[in-house]
Amino acid sequence: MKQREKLFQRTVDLHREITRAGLTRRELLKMGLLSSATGLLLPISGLSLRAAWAKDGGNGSGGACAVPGKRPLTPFKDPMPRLVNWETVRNNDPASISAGNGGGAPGADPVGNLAGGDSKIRLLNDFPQLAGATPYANLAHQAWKGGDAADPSLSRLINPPKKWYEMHVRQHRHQWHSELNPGTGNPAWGFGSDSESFVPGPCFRTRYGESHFVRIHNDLPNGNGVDNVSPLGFGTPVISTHMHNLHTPSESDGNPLYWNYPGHYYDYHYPNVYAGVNQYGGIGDAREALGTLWYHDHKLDFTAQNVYAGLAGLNCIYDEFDSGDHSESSGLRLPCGDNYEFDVPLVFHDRAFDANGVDYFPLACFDGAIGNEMTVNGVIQPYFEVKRRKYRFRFLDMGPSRFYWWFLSDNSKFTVIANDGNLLPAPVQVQSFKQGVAERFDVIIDFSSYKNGDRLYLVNRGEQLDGRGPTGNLLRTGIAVLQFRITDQAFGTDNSVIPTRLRELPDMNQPVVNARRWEFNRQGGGWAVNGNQFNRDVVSATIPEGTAEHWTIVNGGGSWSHPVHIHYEEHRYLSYNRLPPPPIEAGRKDVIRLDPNAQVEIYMRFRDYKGLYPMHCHNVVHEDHAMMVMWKIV
Amino acid sequence: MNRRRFLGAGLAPLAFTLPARGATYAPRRVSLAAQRGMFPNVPLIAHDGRRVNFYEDLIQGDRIVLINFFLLRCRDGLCPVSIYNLTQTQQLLGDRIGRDIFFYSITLAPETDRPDLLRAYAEAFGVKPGWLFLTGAPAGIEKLRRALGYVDTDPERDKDKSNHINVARYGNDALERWAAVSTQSTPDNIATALRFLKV
Repeated sequence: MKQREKLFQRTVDLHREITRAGLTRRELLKMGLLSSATGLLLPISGLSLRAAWAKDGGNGSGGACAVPGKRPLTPFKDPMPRLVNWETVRNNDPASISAGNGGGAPGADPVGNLAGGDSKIRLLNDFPQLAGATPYANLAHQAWKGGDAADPSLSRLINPPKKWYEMHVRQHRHQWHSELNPGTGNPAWGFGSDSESFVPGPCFRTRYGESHFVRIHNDLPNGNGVDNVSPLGFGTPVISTHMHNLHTPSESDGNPLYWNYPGHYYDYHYPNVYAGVNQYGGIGDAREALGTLWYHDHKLDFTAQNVYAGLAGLNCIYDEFDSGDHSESSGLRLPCGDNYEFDVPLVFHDRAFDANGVDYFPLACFDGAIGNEMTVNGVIQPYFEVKRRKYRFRFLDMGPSRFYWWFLSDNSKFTVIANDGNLLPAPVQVQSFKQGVAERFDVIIDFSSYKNGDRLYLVNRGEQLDGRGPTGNLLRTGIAVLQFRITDQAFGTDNSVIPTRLRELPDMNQPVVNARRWEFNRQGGGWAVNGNQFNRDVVSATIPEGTAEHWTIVNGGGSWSHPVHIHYEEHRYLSYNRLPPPPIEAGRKDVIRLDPNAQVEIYMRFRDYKGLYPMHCHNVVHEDHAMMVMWKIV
Repeated sequence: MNRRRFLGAGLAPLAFTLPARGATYAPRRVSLAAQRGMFPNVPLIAHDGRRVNFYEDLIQGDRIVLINFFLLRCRDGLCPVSIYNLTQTQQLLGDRIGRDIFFYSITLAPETDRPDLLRAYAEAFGVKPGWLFLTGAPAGIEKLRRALGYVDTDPERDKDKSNHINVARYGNDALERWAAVSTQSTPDNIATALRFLKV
């Protein structure tokens, strides 16, 4: 009875909203809110009409932050693509990695005798002005055979590549929805091969203890010469690819200052070790494992624009526990299946299109950028056919500035197993959870209790009217972002389990040797950390390798939310607004969802590799204007 | 490489066509950002007395520009720091200023910051050609700062003009490349941002 009353109330509310928005019957049909069979309103969450049909950002700040009006596109019409699982180069043989035009990889010496490895010289020949200005000119790959040969302690950290990959970053046409510029799509930048690139980019499936290498060729139009300008209208073809949030030596971390120029390449080497190699030996402390990582552009001043252009993808890293076992019979036996069929990345990205269907990025808005369309894996409001068994979904908020508050349309619970790629000590069952930019959540959904033909929606009920952050209000209906269509297709047996324990947390026994306070705030029209906007010549903290620190991170106030991200190591909350963190956040994290006036205390260590790393707000528009600092492990 | 794109349960790819191999895109004469109103073609007066239209004369085309807002009478002393940083940046960039890099400093107080005062200010700072201090009709200046995003959503904070002075926009209209840099940072930081916008 209660359920029916709720449904009735929801329908009444929806009626009211529709009347207020003045929608016609035809528009309702197109939006998927009216059943074409019965002519009755579908009593399920649809669009939040006021927010979705807003003609402008509503904050009265003028044109710079306005969001174009939403075009009517049929929701749940297009299938949700899966990310392409990326394979090694032919025969996993580094000899088949192409030298292209040479590049700017760290290290003056040929890297592991790779073809074109003596790449620095080529880059500096092309851009002589870079000599002396290139921050990475004298760096070497610490974990290869490079590094300082005079320092024997570094030999522990050497892990030459075992898996060899190659990617190209290039411009292509992308179809965001079958009704949006049908046949031609929209220009986009994506990761892929030399002839085919994707948004989101491919998904790596990697493994701890199996070091890997990626040569990223930059094939973007360089803008030199009048017929080589990208039609996007935003972005820069100079890129830097960050692997968020792997324990990677600084020269391969994708630092905002370490650039990959068009027509060149950059070599990234990922030792794929856990944090704590020096302290624990071997490949480090297995309690420090991550699982869901993402890679994305991180070019100084252009991060928001370049990620918006399409430069983001996933990396799923496995170990003996989070085993990636297709038969689901070893380790934690999390959902996987052949070809990772039941281990599915979901990349959420909201995007704006103008009245002509052209991509819209608010270049002049300092607050942040929100979209008028919700996309999943590169398609607007898609459907996804599922089989009646368990799936592991890896939720990623690709941004640029939206925060989600997730519910399922029938209010059943999510089983959350990981936060920011870190398996929790035990699964947490929640009816809803919030997700900020760059946060990842691994969620198991079991479709076995549904019937063939059922529809289940993933709904965002967090209200957000502009790029500043969520208002904190819970919308009654929200926006249905993804439609699951339950089918009775065969899948053999579901061998996966939901374990009672996942991964033990590392201790916090190592004494803290330093405490720092970082205040994130608006300043002079821009964004600052401790009163300063980013300056590439400044190192804000110098930290001895192997030490632990206590950081207090504060949102200085106002109406903005700041998802603060620290590279390289995960941290644990000691307190969030002076309270212990809730179970879903009691594990390790690397993105702190800092609401207005919030304050968190974290415990963090700085181990193994040395060099420069950033901390910044991951509302990437704030990052670009210039809410970032560099710290350095010495 | 063995890669296939699974789309739900089926195999039908979303249809889209790629341009012919080797096809390039023709650049726009008026950038997309300008078409969308980011650079209103507002009439302004430079400190050397010239009358200019903002977009057509100062922004449009293949040139690297840096735009910042300031006030002659800056309550908290931040403007002189910004302007000083920019003069040092101008030194670092040498003869590129006026050739392919241009600085535009626009007053937020057009009622009081008249062209002759701007000229005195520019001369006091040793500003060389290629850097214009600009004023204009108050309505035009207001339109410009709003279009460029120098706005605070809180009306009280918005009224305080010193909340719009720390960030400079830099970019190139023909390349359609736009970013921002802090004028409170260092001349090196600013010069590097401009030097490497186009390589």
